[in-house]
Amino acid sequence: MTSPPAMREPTYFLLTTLLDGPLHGHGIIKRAEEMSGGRLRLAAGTLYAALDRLDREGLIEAAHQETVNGRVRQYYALTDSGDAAVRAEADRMAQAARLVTARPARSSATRPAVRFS
Amino acid sequence: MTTTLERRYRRLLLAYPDAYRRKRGDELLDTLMELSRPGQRWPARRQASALLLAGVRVRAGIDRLHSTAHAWRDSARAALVLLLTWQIITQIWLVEIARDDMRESGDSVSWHVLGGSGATVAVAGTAMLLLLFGRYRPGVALALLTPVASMVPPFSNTWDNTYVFQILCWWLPVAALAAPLLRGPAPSGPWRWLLTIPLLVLASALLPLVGLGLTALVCALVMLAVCLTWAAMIDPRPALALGLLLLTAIPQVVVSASVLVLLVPALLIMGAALLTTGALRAHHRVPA
Repeated sequence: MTSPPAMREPTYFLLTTLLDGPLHGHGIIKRAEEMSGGRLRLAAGTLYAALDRLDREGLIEAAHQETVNGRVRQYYALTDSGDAAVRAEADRMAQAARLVTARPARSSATRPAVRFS
Repeated sequence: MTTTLERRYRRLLLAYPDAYRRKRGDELLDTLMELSRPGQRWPARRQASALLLAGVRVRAGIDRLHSTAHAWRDSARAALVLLLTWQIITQIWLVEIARDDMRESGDSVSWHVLGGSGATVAVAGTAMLLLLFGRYRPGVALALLTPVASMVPPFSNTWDNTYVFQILCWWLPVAALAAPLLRGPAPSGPWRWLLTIPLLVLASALLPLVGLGLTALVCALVMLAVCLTWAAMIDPRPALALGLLLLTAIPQVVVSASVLVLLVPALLIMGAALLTTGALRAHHRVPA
């Protein structure tokens, strides 16, 4: 059986922002920026294209709405398969990380000397 | 109260189709306004470019592509329609050449030539319509019959052995392009990008034949660059369609217009470049 392809980083952070509960567009952008240490700054157009795709794939769903300044504010929540997908990706990355962290770091004293002859 | 910034963002949202704006317009605007700084009057450049790009992608139907195979099937159908378009243009061209020859000799074009070309155009045109409306089996059957129309009585009373070569040169690309269509479900999504962009590139690529010299060559290269950029940034299907067309139809092009023999290497390179760019983009089509 083949495993699903690795999730792209923006998708991973986007789904991770929803682990603590539903968020609206601006909330997702800000939370993703915080979580990624400022690396991921999603533009609104990019965010909604991603939300549309994740909604189609059944990983997120529309939650409640509220009206602010006369405009609809839609909140999004993780579905069960979205939750499972982001946790599976986290496990995959943790396993990959362990391959490195389980080995001692090489100090300069243990490095083989390079010889030029 | 509507602010200047809000009005400007609303104008940028016109990049999206009406239906999408009705569903998501207010929500997108709310997010954009929340992201803006106090007193900001102009949309941030990053937000503006992302909105335009995402809006055009939705218009192109890229959000409705469910798989890479789906993109290839859409492109194969567009390439087959373009191949039939090419056949119709060739027939009109042949009649024009015959008319020029006859004008010099003072005769009129024989009804065999006119009738044969007319029959080919009718069969190719019907096949095109059937394919456009998703009727693949009759569409492909008629597409295969296209060259035969002018080879049978009353348009041709004698059998020419070169007909076999001509038929094979037509059947091979048609069969190659039809195979994915007959195996998969009907594609969906807007058609205009899939046909207009490759048609524009083809038209500009053929301009040098009309004799506009350097201007035509520059025009062809610019159009090719537009097609490659479109594939890389928005929708891979027009580039895939044009690439498939060039790579599968080259024997047919050579047969129908032997003057183009010198262009074959250029067409092969163009086709490979378009197909590679389109295939890479189709593989990484996910927006985020």
